[in-house]
Amino acid sequence: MPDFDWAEPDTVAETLDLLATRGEDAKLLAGGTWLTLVLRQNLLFPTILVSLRRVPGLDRIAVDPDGTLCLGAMARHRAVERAPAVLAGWSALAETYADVANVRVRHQATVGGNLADADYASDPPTVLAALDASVHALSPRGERLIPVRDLIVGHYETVLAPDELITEVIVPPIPPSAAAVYLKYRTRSHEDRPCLGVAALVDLATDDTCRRLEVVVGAVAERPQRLPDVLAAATGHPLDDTAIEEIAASYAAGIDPLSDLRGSTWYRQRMIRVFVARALRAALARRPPAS
Amino acid sequence: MIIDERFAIAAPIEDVWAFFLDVPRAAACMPGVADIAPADDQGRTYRGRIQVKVGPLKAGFAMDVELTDTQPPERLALVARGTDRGTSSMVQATVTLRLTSSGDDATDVAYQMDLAIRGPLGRFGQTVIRDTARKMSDQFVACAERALATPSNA
Repeated sequence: MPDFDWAEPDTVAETLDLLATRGEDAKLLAGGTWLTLVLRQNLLFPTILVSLRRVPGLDRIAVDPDGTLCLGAMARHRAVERAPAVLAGWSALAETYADVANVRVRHQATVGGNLADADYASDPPTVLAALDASVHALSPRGERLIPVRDLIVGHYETVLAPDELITEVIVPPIPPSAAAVYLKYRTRSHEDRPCLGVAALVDLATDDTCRRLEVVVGAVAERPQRLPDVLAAATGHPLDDTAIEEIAASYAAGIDPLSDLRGSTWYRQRMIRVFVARALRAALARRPPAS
Repeated sequence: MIIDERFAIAAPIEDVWAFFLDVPRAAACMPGVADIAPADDQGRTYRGRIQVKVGPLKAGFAMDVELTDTQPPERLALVARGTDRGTSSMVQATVTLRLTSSGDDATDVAYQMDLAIRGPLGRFGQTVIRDTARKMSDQFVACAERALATPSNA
């Protein structure tokens, strides 16, 4: 492993100061499940690691008065999957975090670290994009709110500046008439990363037409894939079998999947179709019965 | 890992050939390339450096390039080898270019690259490497098109 300095700032302000003064070769350390790997493989040579573990308040999990879920950047996957508030209002999110890797990794991996890593074969970004979540990012230039959909721009690449820190992820409430699911498809072992993952959110009006629809496919390209034209075309119409198959076929046709050990481009193309349809049916089945 | 691409350039085949044979000029179109210079008098071997960046990961390869086959104006083959001291990784790329004239001002270019990366970077993930190589080659092609569309004084 390369040599580097170690810092454990006590405040967000101190953290930002360190990032600003030490420049691009300073790296933030959250849970370390990704960073330690690339350090040990001699792929990354930071001059200083800035650990966030002493900064208070960053692991907060709470629901704001307006119903928005706030997940602190340092909230561990395990804490999110077990939080009563998340289980009650955002069960698809709790299930997603519960389905990442294994329990040892989940005790360590953090909400903010996972997003900042921008690994294509990851589950949470897919669901957070479908739920229209955003991140609060702080830098010496101030605070900004970045939709998760716009955060990841390439392999391990986000729109975050080197001196910018994710403090919190905010997730809007899921309306009572809606339901969301995440289907993770593994082709190898139970602990493996996904061949693909599909997050779907369905909200139907009283006449059973689609009020709002979200479908995001993850782990098939360098960033989560959402096809706004397909979603817009389906909105306002009944979500019957024909519509579901059409949406699934459009997603399969509209995504150019990558190829890796978990599935070839050809295979992923077919599985996108299968799992988008399954996710939509699962979301429909999860909706509360009409009252 | 083999990467196959095809593209068309709106220039006569002789101009396209001259462009690729002028290794420093063509290499300037590759993102991250610096300090490329001939390593012999015959124009067969060159030295240079290439900087590759994937998110926070960076590698700088010292490169040796050798033209292994030149059949004007149709076929050009080269081997590029490089080492990154930071990550102790090695890269070797065997590139074959085939040019076909498809009109007075139109040339089809087919290229095949056999890319091998050894060491820590190679273990890092073939998918990411392939996507990065693709992105770089897309940028290279776009730059080559611009360079050839602009009539030079030569």
